[in-house]
Amino acid sequence: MRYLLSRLAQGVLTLFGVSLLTFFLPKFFQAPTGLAVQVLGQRATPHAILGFLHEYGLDRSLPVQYWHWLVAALHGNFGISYQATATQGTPVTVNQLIGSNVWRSIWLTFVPTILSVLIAIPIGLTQAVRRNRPYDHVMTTVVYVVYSTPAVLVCLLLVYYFAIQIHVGTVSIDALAVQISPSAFPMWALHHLRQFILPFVGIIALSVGGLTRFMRGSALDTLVQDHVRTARAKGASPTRVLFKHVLRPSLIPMLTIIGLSIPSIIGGALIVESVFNYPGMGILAVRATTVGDFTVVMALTIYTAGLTVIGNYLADIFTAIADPRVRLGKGRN
Amino acid sequence: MEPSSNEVVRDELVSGVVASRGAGTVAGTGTMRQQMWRVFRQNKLALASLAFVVILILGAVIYPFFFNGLYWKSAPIDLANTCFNSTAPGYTGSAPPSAHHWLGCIKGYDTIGLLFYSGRFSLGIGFLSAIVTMSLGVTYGMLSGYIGGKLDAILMRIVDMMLSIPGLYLLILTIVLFGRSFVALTVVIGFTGWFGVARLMRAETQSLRERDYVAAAITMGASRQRIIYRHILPNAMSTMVTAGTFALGDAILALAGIGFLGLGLQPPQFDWGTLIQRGSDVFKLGYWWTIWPIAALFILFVLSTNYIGDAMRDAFEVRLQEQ
Repeated sequence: MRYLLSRLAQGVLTLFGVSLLTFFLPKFFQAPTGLAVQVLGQRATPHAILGFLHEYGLDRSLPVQYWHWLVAALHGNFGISYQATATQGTPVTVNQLIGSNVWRSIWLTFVPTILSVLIAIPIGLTQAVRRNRPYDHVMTTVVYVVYSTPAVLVCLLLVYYFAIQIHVGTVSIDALAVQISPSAFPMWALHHLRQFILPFVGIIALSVGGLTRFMRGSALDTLVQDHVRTARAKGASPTRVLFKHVLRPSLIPMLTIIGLSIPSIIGGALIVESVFNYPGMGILAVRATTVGDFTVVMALTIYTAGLTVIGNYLADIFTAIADPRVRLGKGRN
Repeated sequence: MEPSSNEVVRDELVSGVVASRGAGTVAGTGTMRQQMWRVFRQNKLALASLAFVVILILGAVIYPFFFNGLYWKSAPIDLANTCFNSTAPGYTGSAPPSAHHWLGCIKGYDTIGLLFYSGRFSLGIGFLSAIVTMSLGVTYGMLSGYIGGKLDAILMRIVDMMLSIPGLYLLILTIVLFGRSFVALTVVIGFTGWFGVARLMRAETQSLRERDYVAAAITMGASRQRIIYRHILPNAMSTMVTAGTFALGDAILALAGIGFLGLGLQPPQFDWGTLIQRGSDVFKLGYWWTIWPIAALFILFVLSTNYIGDAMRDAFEVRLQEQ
């Protein structure tokens, strides 16, 4: 219990640090008047600019601004998106902007991540059982090659060989995806599953290599443990030993690795999104960053970091439930 | 403290590849350098990789000069060496491989020329930012691991924090803030890539600190500096070499990612990422030769750096045995 509480405190501290970084880093480079001109247009009067700065509290000192931002953010309010406000004329909050995109991203990342875990577990396990046999070497090489190919190239090659040559999947995702409302999106996505085949495979290719290697290592560690030998000595069938005594303990470290790979999956999804023209969080983040819409960037960074922290924390909890040594604060440092 | 996912994956990958090849290394006699080279030489895969990387670097340095100098100056057009002299309708300048252009053309430029020319920038940024990454990561990790206590806790929280932001997001943010020149990209990639290295070196330092010879050195009254320079740093060398080759591969992959997103170097400078971006739209039309050469180059390059790293690690371990 104490262990979990201290982990929670660490997570909160992490998020606080991320918020400091994302708040102050852009502020060093971006003058508030520039923002005002961006929203109000080039011909804004000095009076209007001052009014704008006052309205959004941009005329205060940075620590005060940070404090106000932090308090609002803790209430889930990340302010307005200056860019979207400028283009649409009415104030658009960051949360509205993210809310309209987030479902597409969740669909794009969640499903393939689950799939790649389901693929990695049997491959890693069989590799561990047939350690140093041809099968193991072949899979190691395949994983190594996939791991060292940039995500962009994986996606482009997929598009060429599947979408263009044999018409499995599509070159890009229907631009209509933007107009589908969040509530209708799940049904729409299921109906257009064919368009998602290649993006999914792309994300699986990104994450499956690491997960497979990790599963292999984890299963190898388990295979040499006493309880496995005991089970074998008692005459349990190889299948039973594999599923009952090897699989379950080797899954525990997998939880941690899944929690830890959240940032890299989100980063990789950005590339997949831009190859397939799919407007998700990644493209939103790139656009917001390149036009200097830093309120959106801050919110996205905080949400992503929060997701990572929660993922790691959940992994810790599951590990603690599954492994009593961790609960007592032993077994790791 | 768990290791980061990448680190674990790398560790697994490296150990897997080493194990799959089997470690049958015999040191023999001779000077230290000769022995290390002998061990390195036994790994044929690493030798081939070294040859590939050397050819790539030499090509990147020398080859662009054969474009009459025009190629890499403000107007990179050289009619004798490009594919512009076609008058066919619907011609995009991306001709398939031919006797004159062995790997074909990408939008009017000879692919081999482009690969070597952009290799200058990709390899340059890759090597330099890997050096930045390694110096920051090793210093930070060793400090944290050796001193320990409260400082360690604070330093590692900072690393946790940085690792919870997707690397690509951080990279894009810093590029937008600091600019897209060669120097800026090198610094930015170097400064956003060292967190994993720091963690790895911290773990390594912590385990080395507990060794008997370090305890013996402390007992004999060796200073902290001496222990770090004479006992910990040389023993951490093999880990550092592995981490360094991964840092190089990662830097070049990161550059490819941001280049594809349109945030890489700007013409007349090119990197492999911008090259992928330029080739990608015609590739989708079915021009396989606009992406395959770059893809092959990438896979071979990252694989070879890793194989070289493995062999160097073996070589350094022999050196340690001899000491």
